[in-house]
Amino acid sequence: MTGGDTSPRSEEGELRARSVRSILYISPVLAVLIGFFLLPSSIFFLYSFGTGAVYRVQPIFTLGNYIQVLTNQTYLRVTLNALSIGGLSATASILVSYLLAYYLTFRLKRGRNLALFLVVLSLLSSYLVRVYAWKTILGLNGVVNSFLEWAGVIEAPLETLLYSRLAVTITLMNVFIPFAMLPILSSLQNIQPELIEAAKDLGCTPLRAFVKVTLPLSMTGVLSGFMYTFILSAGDYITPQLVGGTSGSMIGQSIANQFVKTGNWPLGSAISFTALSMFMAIYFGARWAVKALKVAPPPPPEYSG
Amino acid sequence: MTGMQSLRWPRLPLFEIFVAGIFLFLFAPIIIIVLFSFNDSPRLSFPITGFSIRWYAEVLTSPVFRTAVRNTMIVSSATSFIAIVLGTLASLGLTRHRSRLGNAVLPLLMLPVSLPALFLGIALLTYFSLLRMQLSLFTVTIGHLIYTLPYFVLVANARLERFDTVVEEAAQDLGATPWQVFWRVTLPIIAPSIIGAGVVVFALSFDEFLITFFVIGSESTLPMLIWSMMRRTIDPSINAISTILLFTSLLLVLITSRFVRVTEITL
Amino acid sequence: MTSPIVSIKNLTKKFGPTSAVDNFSLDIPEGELVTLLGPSGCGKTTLLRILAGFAEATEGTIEIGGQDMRGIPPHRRPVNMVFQKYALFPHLDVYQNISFGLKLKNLAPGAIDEKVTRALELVRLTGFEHRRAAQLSGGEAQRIALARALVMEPKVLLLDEPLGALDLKVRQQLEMELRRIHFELGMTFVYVTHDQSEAMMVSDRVAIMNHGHLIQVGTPQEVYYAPNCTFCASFVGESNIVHARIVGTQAGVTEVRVGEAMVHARLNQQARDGQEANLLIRPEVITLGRTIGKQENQLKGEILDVTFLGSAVLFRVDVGWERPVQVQQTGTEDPGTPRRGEVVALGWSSSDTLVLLD
Repeated sequence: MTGGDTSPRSEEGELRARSVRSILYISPVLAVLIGFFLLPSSIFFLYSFGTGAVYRVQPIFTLGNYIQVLTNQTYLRVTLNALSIGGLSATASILVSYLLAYYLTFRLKRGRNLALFLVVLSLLSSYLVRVYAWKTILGLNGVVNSFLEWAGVIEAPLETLLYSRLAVTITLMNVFIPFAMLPILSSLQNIQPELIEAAKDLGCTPLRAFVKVTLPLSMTGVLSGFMYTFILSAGDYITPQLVGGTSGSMIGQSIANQFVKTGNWPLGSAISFTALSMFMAIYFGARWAVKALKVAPPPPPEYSG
Repeated sequence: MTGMQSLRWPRLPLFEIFVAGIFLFLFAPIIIIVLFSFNDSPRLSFPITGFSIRWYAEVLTSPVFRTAVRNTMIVSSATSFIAIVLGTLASLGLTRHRSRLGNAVLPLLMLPVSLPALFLGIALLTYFSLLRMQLSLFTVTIGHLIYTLPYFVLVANARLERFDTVVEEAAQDLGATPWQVFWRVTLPIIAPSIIGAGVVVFALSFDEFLITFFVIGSESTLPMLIWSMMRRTIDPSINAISTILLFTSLLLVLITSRFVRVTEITL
Repeated sequence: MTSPIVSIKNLTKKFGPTSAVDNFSLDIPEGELVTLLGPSGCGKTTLLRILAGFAEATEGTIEIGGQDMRGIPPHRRPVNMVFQKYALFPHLDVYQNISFGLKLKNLAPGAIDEKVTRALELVRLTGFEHRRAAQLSGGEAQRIALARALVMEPKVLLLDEPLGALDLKVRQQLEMELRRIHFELGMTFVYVTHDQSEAMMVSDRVAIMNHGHLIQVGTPQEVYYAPNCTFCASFVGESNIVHARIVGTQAGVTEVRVGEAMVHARLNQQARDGQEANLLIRPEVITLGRTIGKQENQLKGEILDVTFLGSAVLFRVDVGWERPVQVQQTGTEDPGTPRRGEVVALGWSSSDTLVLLD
């Protein structure tokens, strides 16, 4: 929207007016973010340095909570669970969704819109309902066991299906495959087909063209998808709570317990930020590994927007 | 089409089978729940004894269910409305003029998407309690807003980036004041994407459980109802409620797909 | 003498230290189609946008219809613009596009209807009222964009490289359409293009710009036959331009030395003997034959190549100058046409040879 009624004479004045306007437009969302996200998160972080019990917080600065977190066996176990289950399901989800996205982009001609529609549908279908569904599917009387018994493969229902790390992994994959697919799909779609054709024209086999052209160009989408999927999987609460049992319990439950049952908020905060730091460390490690292996192209020069 | 392959694959369409298998995996739980919601028997296992809609009848007449639905509608509608207003403004500000502030805001905006809902819910809980704010549907709306605004801006930005402002200049040239330009040209053109993004917000808010769980206080929404039913003994009407929820999602996705192209969204 | 409809005085537009438009002045009489012609980046589009009100000048004034345009936003100016990429409203059909500006003026529906119908007739697209923008071809879309602007009856119509995105044949057809419409309406058009043949085709006057400056303004003939500098000479039409040194002037004919040869030429300005200059010889004024003729300027040379362009035949001949001379003749099937490698005689008159002093 250019040149208002009291238009400034100079170009700089016009640019400044537009800049002010854009800041004005952004400020409501910014205010919401600061007021209801940044501020709460910071205060929550500060809590981790306090002590307290029964839903109250004493403003003493102490590292006691962190020490407690890092030395507690249970927390260690569930954190490792979170990292391993989260890592495994995220990696598997990325692999599967990459194949899926590749197929949708390069192979499927007709029915692509339907396939995309189905992906979005599964993405926006209730998370809770799907976790509950797996609970019934994998249970003692669930679909899998009933089918195996009926088919004569087993004699008694398998107890290890539900309330296990396997159950958590399967459920998380079910939820996150469509989620991871979006950024990968987007980056694959942005590859100009001429680039791949040029590679083949210059002598690459289809496989080589894929490794040398398609894969590196889609890496930003893959990394982005991995980050979201890994952090959200490792930090999940609902899935391990419903289908994880003891062996499949993850750090999310330990955190939630502090706020639902025990009421030691500073401790809960300390656990949260410790877990979060570990997730971030793993993610950055994965990014560094990808760069070191030279699978991804170098980052573009600083661009705006 | 391609000439020589270095390996001779058997004529099985492996890729196709794999893809079909994945889609089956993704939708199996949904299909099973829907199936069982019509199951006559109260047990949640095979075999299916008979077709019945008694669970639906139970659910739809239950006052607890009705209250939960009403609350969910209130929260989701409020969230969508606020998200549309704030998010459209923000998206216009971010895509129209590159400012340093804008460049900082976008990554900040994406943070709530990358953090677990558990974290968001708990942080808000401690915050509200510090402010001595009463937990209610209002605090739930705030929580949903934080969770959904990034998605709205993502979808809206995808459309607005492609918007060629030359049509706005043309409108001005033909005599439209800046306000008329917005109402008669800009808004009609971006409206479908804004609506689509709003519907996405509605769908996300409708299903949201974890943040709601922490900041809702004593009220109930549909996902919370399902959760509490899951924790108690197995009640078969949970399948009916779940199916209703799934069906709502289907409707919402159908509406969204009319307005938004998925492939433009970059996370 | 009536005052010009557009009066641009000393217009300068700076972006930081660089001037996109530099001290530009031009008066445009009512009813004229004047073209701003120049290479990319010469400032012609910037100038047009300043006329339209989408940018403000740093210095200088613009008067349209006697009214100072300073501070007046685009929607209040008595001008309308045809944009390069049509800028049709995608959410409206053709009728709504064309009537957009009229509705803003709150005209009665009957009056709007009449004007839209007439506009469509003018651009020869009657019956297109309910098509959507996406269904139109490039040429159709451009005509609708034109109709949308014309229907507002502006004092000046601005056209920003309107034919740039079109195929050659469509472009040529539309060039003639524009000329016809301009003639029928008698409206003032300011046209911007980098395509010199397009400029020559449609314009009453051509204003050549480079680096933000106005280099020369004149009718197509004036600009073609009497360019005032080497840039204009080489920008418009095909040209042979070579370095020369002025030797002397006698009885209206100037002698110049080009390499070893002495050439008789025409000088339009004051110059000293011994001054360095450029010489302009249009390819079509040179005759090419096997025997020497009787013209003022004669040279022998070897044909480097022959190109058949359909309506013309182009020869490149090496006469020992810094670069080959281009000669253009009417296209012919005659198998006796001289071929590559042949030695031929070139001849042309002094009045067709222009000395350029810049």
